[in-house]
Formats: sequence, structure tokens, C-alpha cells
Amino acid sequence: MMDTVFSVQFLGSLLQSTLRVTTPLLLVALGELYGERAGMINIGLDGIMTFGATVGFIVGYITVNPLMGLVAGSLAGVLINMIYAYSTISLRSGQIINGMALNILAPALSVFMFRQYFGVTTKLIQGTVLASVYIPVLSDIPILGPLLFRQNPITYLAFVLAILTAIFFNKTKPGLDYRAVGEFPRAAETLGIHVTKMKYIATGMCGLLAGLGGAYLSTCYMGTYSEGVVAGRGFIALSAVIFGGWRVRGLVLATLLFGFTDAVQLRFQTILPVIPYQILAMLPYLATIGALFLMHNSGLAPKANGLPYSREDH
Amino acid sequence: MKVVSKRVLAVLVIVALSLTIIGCAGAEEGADSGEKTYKIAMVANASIADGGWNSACYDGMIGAAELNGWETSYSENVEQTDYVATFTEYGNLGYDLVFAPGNEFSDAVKEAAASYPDTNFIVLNGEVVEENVESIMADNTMIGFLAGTLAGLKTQTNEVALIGGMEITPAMQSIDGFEQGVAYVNPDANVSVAFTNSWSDAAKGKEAALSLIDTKDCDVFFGISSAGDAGMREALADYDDRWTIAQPSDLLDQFPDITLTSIMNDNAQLIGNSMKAVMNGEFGNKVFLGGLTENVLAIGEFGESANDVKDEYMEIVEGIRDGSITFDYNV
Repeated sequence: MMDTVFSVQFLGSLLQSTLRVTTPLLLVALGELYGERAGMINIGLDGIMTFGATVGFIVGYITVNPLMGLVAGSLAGVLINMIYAYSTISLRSGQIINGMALNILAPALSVFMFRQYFGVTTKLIQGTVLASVYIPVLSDIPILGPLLFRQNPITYLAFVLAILTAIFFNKTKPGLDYRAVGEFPRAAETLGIHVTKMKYIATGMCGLLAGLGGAYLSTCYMGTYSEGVVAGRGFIALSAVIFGGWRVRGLVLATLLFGFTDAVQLRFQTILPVIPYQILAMLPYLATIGALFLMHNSGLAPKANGLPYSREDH
Repeated sequence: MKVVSKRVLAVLVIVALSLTIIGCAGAEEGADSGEKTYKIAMVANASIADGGWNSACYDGMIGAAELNGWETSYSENVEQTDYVATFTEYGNLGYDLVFAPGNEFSDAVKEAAASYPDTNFIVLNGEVVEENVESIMADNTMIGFLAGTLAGLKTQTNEVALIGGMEITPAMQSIDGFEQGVAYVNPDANVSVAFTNSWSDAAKGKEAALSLIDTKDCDVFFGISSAGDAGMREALADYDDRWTIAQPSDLLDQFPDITLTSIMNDNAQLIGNSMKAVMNGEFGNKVFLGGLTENVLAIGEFGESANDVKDEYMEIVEGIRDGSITFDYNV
């Protein structure tokens, strides 16, 4: 068993698997970060992902082009999140209840659309898949090669986006303005920042990335779509934002930790069959709870997170 | 006071309206009692289009209804807390047969069946039997044994794998049969089992398959994890020396290169059998176990990749059918 665990091939494939599992979580968590930095808590990520996965799959299937699917999935995410945006920003109703509404509405709408188009099928429909990048010589380097040079394009996109997001929030003036909206919207408003507009942009970004994360599942990770394919990933992403302390670096580590423990538990199921799989399947969640417990992140949350805003209020 | 009386009025109107509707339904049934149309309903706790278990069950019901001239209906995504209410509803509506596709419905069926003696219930993979309840099941151990013998014959690495969804009784029966089947034809081969811990997470099935290839170099895969099986097949499609045995319907046309064959589970036969019993008035108080001889299980088309083992395998299948090859029911 020890030979297996420490072989180069084992380690390489473990890390590969980690990145595959992490990619959708990271994209969606970044989306939620854009939301919460402007004070918009959206627990409807799972619903938006489902909608993105469905629209992405259908469009990818029709156009036979997974890229079109990804674009459509992202836009569908923006579109459905505008329901949440209008009721929470313009009508100032509760964010949690609206997020919950998305989680109920979006999967139902997805099922409806999918069955309208494909009918009730017993076999899963096979669509197109966005192939992984393969850079000849470089990707043959042990461990590092496949890890750095043999990934899905969207995986690269997710990590590049994470870096850009970190720069945006910490090093640029628009980024600081954006954060001000989540910390103290009234002060931001007096400085000439259009809070309402900013909040709409924030929910747009959240929808875009959550939709993209969903579409990744049905056009990159897999070429098939099954109802329930999102399987709670939206909630994992949501917790990754808290666990990551509303910082990009923390969020990357949080999603990587989840991806890694998930990849590890699947391998342990086969090399250590004596351990009941139920215990191993808990591992990613236990790790997340454990890390949350150790981090004491509550003080890092944007101060006006989750609060409705109105110019007239005093 | 005024508000309250308005509310009372509203409630009364609603009650009156619903009574009218129920009355109409009753009247309709009375009118065409000359030629009774039998009705069956399926209650699913997930989507009926999940591409796996519930799809196969739904299809089976539709197929059986077409053969026997029944009307169908279904409720899907029913939460556990609503099981009894949903069964009761179909009892109220006067359905002749209610189809519960899984052992998890047993308790709810028992409860609802007691109040509606004129409605019959079938529980797939169940154990409950009553005056108006039958349990029906495909022989899961035989399914596993059929898959196991083919996997054992085909494997080049002597490592075969089974991917399950969750550790439920039918799955454990299949695993038990699978292990016996592998051992029957190839005592040197080793069986690895992984669970996706979900019935809907297709991506998890893909990761599970890749992890079985990395850790054990498994080359023949049998999937019983519903949506996860689709992910497993996608993972295997990237290789040219890994194969799968499909279930519960013939999936050769979807992945012709990697599919050896399919173990087909004909739910239409299973459900049709119960429909006939209802029509003949012989329904109730038994468990029906369907295998090869009952035509509930069948072997599908063979893929090109199975050419080297096909003949030997069909001999084993015939052996199981005529009883010369036997296996144990340990679970």
C-alpha cells in the first residue's frame, strides 16, 4: 500500500483530481466573493449553478461548441440572479430568503427547460466536452507537467481570475471603492460611489461566475447532464468564502483543501477498504468544519454584509 | 369581526369547491364503469429522468402500462416526509396500483395500504407483504453474478471494480453476487469497490473511476451508482484498454467501444406481472423475485470488445438459466 501512495504517478493523479474538483468550487466562490464584498450574501449559488449547467449543456449540445455553452451558462447565471438583485437591492427584501427562492426556482426551471427540449429520457444525453490543454514536451515532466500543462482551459481561467480578483480588491481604486460598498455604503455614497449600481454589478458578477461554474460541470468536467449534477457544490463554495475569510488567498486555499480531501477520500476507499466509505466521504466536510473552527473568521466579514441599503434611511 | 367572517367565507368556498371536484371525479368513474380503465401511479423520491434508477423504473411502468392498457401517473421529487401523504392521495383517487420504486418506501406503503384496501401497492426491492401489498424485485445477486463472471473473464490486469452509489441492501446484494461471479471464473482476480455517496453526482462517478485506475489499475468496471455510472463511462472512454458492463438498460449504442454488454433489468416484465395479478384478482401477500428465467433479467447486445470472451460467457449465462451454475444469497 505504501508503494502505491508514494509513487510519482499516484501523487500526480491525486493532484490532477484535486484541481478538477476545485475548479468549479473556486469559480463559484469567487463569484460569491464579488457579491459579498458589496454586501450581497447569496445562498442561491447552488440554484444558479444548476441553471448555468442546464443552459450551458443545452446550448453546447445545440451548437456542438462547448465554449458557446460556457458563455450561455454564464449569461444565464447573470439573468437568473437579476431576480435576486431586483428583490434585494431595489425592493430591499431579505437576502437569505431570496437566495433560498433561487435554490427552489432554478432547479425546477432547469428541469422544465431540459425536458421541454429533450423530453423525458432514460439514457443520459451525450453532449460536447471542452478538451484539456495538452502542451507536448512540458506536460511530460513528472507530477508538475500534467499539473501545470495538461489542464482544462477553465481551470487556468479560474486561477488567473483569482489572481486578478486579488489585485483588483487590494491594489486598485475601483476595487477599494467596491469594498467600501460592502463595508459602509453610506460613506461610500457620500464619496460619490453609486451604491445601488455597484450592488447590481456585484450580483451580476456573482451570477456570471456561478453560472460559469455550473456550466463547467456539464461542458468541461463531463459531457453529460443529469438533474442534480451540481450536488451541493454551491453550498461548499458559499462556505469557502467564509472559511477563506473573504480574502482571495483564503478562498483558494479553502477550495483546494476541499478538492484535495475529496480526491484523497476516493483513493482511500480502494486502498483502505477496511474503513467504511461513509467515514471517508465525510472527510472533505470534516476538514472544512475543522478549518472553519480554527480560523475565527467572523471579524473579517464586510461590515454591511447582508444589510439592505437605501439612500433615505438614517 | 368583519375580517374574520371574510376569511371564514373564503375557507368555506374553498372547501365547497374541492368537494365539488371530488364529487365530479367520483361521478366520472361511475359513468364509464362498463369498461374499467386500470390506473397505476409511480411515486419517486428523485427525478423520473435521472438517467438511472428512476428512469428505468418509470420506463418500466410506461412499458407495462402500454402492454396491458393501463393509465399512468407519477409524482417525483417526493420528500420522505411526504411519502405517506402522496400514497394516501393516490388511494383517495382510487388508483388500482401504486408503484413504490424502492425499499425506502416500505414503511410509508404499509401505513397507507392499511387505509386503502382497494388500492394495491408494489414495492420494488422491498420486503413488505400484505393483503394489498406485494414486494417485487429483480434478482440483484444474479445481476451482480452475471456482471462479475464477465468481468472476471475479460480482465487483463486481474483487477476489477464496482462503483456503487450508497450502501443499500440491493447494492450489497449486487456486490456480493459480483464478488462470487468474479471468483467463479477467475480466482486470481481482485475486486475493488468504491462509493460515490450520491445518486445524482455524475462527476463523482468519473473521479471514482479514475481513482480506481490510479490506485489498483482496474480494467473492467461495473457501475450501480445511477448518475455516477455516466461519469464512470466518460472516464473509461479516454482509455482503449478499460471496459464496462452496463445496467439496467442496453447502453451499447452510447459507448460502443468500452461497453462489453449490458445486464438488462426489464422492469416492464416485473410491473406487468403485478398488473396481471391485479386484473385477475390474484394480487397480494407475496414477494416476486425476477431473474433470467422470469425474463426480468436479460443480457444485452455485445460490443466488439467482448468478442474474445463472448462465447464462454454465454455458456455461463445458460448455466445460470438452467440451474447448473449456482451462487449463494448471502445478503
